[in-house]
Amino acid sequence: MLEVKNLNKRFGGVEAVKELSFNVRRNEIIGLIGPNGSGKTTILNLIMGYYRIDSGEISFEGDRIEGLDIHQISRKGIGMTFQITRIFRSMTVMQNMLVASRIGLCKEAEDRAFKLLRFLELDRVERELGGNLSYGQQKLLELGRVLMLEPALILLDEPAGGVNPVLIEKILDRIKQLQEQGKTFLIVEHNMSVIRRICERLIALDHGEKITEGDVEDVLEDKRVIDAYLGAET
Amino acid sequence: MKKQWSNFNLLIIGITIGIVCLLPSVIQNSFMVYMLLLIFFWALLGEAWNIIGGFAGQLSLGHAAYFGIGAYTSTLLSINYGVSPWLGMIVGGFLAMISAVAVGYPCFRLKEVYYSLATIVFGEMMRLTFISELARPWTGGAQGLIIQIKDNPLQFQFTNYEPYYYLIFAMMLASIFISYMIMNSKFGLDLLAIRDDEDAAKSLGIDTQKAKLKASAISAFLAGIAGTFYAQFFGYIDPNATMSYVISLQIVLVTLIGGKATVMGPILGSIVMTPIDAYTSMMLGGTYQGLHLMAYGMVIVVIVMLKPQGLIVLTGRVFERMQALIRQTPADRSGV
Amino acid sequence: MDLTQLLIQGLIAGILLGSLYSLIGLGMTLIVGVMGIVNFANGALLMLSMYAAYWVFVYTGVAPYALFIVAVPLLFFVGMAIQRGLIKPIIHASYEAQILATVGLSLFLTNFALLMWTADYRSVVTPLSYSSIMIGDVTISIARLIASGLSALTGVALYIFLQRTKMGKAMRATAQDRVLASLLGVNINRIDSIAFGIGSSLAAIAGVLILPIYYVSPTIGDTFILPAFATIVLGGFGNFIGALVGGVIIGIAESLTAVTFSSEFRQVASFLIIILILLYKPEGLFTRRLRE
Repeated sequence: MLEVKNLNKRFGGVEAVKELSFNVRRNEIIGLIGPNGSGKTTILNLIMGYYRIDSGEISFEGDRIEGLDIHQISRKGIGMTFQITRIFRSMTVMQNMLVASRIGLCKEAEDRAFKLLRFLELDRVERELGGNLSYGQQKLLELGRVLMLEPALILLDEPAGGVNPVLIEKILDRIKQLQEQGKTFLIVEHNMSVIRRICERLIALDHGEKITEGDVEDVLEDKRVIDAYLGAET
Repeated sequence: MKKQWSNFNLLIIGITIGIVCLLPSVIQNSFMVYMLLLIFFWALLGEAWNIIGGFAGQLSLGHAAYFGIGAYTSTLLSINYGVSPWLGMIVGGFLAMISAVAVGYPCFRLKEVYYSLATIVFGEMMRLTFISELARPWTGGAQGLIIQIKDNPLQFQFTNYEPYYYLIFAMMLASIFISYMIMNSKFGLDLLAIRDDEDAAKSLGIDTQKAKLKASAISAFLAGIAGTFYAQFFGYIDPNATMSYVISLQIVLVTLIGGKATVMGPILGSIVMTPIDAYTSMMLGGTYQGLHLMAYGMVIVVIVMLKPQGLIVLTGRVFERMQALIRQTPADRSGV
Repeated sequence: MDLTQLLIQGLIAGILLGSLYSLIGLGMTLIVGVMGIVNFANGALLMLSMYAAYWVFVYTGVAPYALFIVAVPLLFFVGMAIQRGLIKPIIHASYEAQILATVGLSLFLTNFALLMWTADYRSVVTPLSYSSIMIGDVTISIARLIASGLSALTGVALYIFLQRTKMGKAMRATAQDRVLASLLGVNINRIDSIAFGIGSSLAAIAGVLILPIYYVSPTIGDTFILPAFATIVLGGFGNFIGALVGGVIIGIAESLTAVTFSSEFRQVASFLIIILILLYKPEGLFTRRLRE
């Protein structure tokens, strides 16, 4: 579904992503792991269009998307949540949802939004301003907002970051349910238990390069991955 | 978000409009009529700015340029080609619109500070162009242009206040209506999202560049037609009176005081600011030149630091309490 | 004078004028770099410095260039006060709030001066004001030459401060990464205050330097703020070398425009440069392309 080929990106003197290639298959939940600075968030940003690639190709459902504007990539069916939540603080929860509506402001959109809010147990706070929500609620709202777009592929940047274990469970349950409904996920995560619980396949990075990929347990036990996390000298 | 119109709301609106229409006949004091006229005028400018500056959150500090373009377009068309200022007003509005898009196209792509800087530059550039000796044969330069006001309704000329009063009131109502429509549309939500976090808005499929340009265009058009009104009412325009940085700041101030990104904020701001402005510049203008502008500077700083949402938040609570008392507000599922 | 002589004259005048723009630009770019705030009130501060110097001159007859002793410390502390009172509370507010705060301050200060001292033009006339030297066929005003030289000297002093002193290095660190700097133990608040103080002092120095050359009036700040903006846009926000070179470029552009067309169009040069830079290289000519 998503094909990344020979991706390269440097910032000034730093090569953030080096000759990276990987695929994301339809309907799978794939995890992107690696120590800090390995380029994980950069990759998500490159896919979504926040950064422009230096070289390489990104294809989604057969179409090349590198170089497109962010909103164009979004319209192709890719959604993203952020490491630090970026909900609209001065708008209400319901307004946050409706902004993402592809069909404008109509009863149907409001109904869908409300259903999603209920799915995420945010329906009680629908009139609350985004800025007044707790961090966990904001994370859920961001997820809900991206779901309003009805994307085929969802990029999650550390969905469990800063969230209490109970809420993490809730989020993971939702993700599993969404997978059953046909969605595909690419998740960047540090939290190993989350990865074990939900990812089907892993791609491990270090210093912008892919060091291995494959089954969750295999990758996590791979010596190279462990070395990367423990900071062995390259 | 569709705010359901309760009978209460409609009644209040109807009564207000009725009162405003009857006022000139009831109050024989032409100064009061003039003052109200000015209030409506600044409210219109405030509403215009609010669309790009409030809803979309893009701080335009050069709106006087659009105002001036409107004023000069209709005036020059009228003086040189005998075109009726009614038509000139529309043309002026469109020219203002085109300028806004021309400025916005390169600058909306950049960080917002650059946009604000660019609007200041554009405003000053317009003023200097129109005031320059080079342009004098065409624009009248620093001496400005005089419009002969005789009684000629077809040429947008009236000899007493009343017609102007009703006209500016209607224009203000139109701007409120436009503002209201925007606020309740997806476009309005998009603008608010852009204001809060433009990058996040992009990730939701919003073409932020297009949205900002659209808002800017509407805003400039309204400022432009206000310019024509100004020209036809005061009968004299010059670059310093119409295109100066101070005028731009005043336009911002109206909305800032009242409340950005709200429909009625600019109205409230004008109600508060205009009488004070008129009073200080008339009473104190001569002896204490600069006092009212100094006060403006202080007000800007105070509002920004203490009450950035504007005074409208105070009225919001009052109004809500009134509504609760009458108990006619329907369950408003999604509104703020 | 034939065309080449005219152009050379314009070039020289431009370099001299440009060094003043560099000075003011340095102050503004320092503040932008350290705090991320574009100080719209910088011109007003220059104006205040001029008035302070003017009044001291009128009452004590001290030689104009000695007035640094008064203007610079005064504006340094005024700058720090502004930072503490106005900037610090809104350092985390929206960019609109930050812009409006300094815009409002500028409006306030300019009209305060108007109120206190009226719009009358005043001037400080010294033997320097009208003297000039001739190099070949080119006339150079001595006052401008001195202004230029002292500007350059100030630039060097600032450079040494930023590169060699502990505080200067802390300031540069803050400009690069505020969070990291504070984690490394830098007192961000103090750096901010001092940076704003320095920025204001640079404007103050410029104010004293132009005292023998320009009329003192409440609006003198406005005359200089636009080229100052052009300087920091051209040079890149926070870019030291950019401000130095940028100021001179702006000065030359203005001067040549005045010479070839008319004095009225001086400011058009600044405008056009701002527009062109924003269109094609918004991070400034001297900054490596960072934005995506």
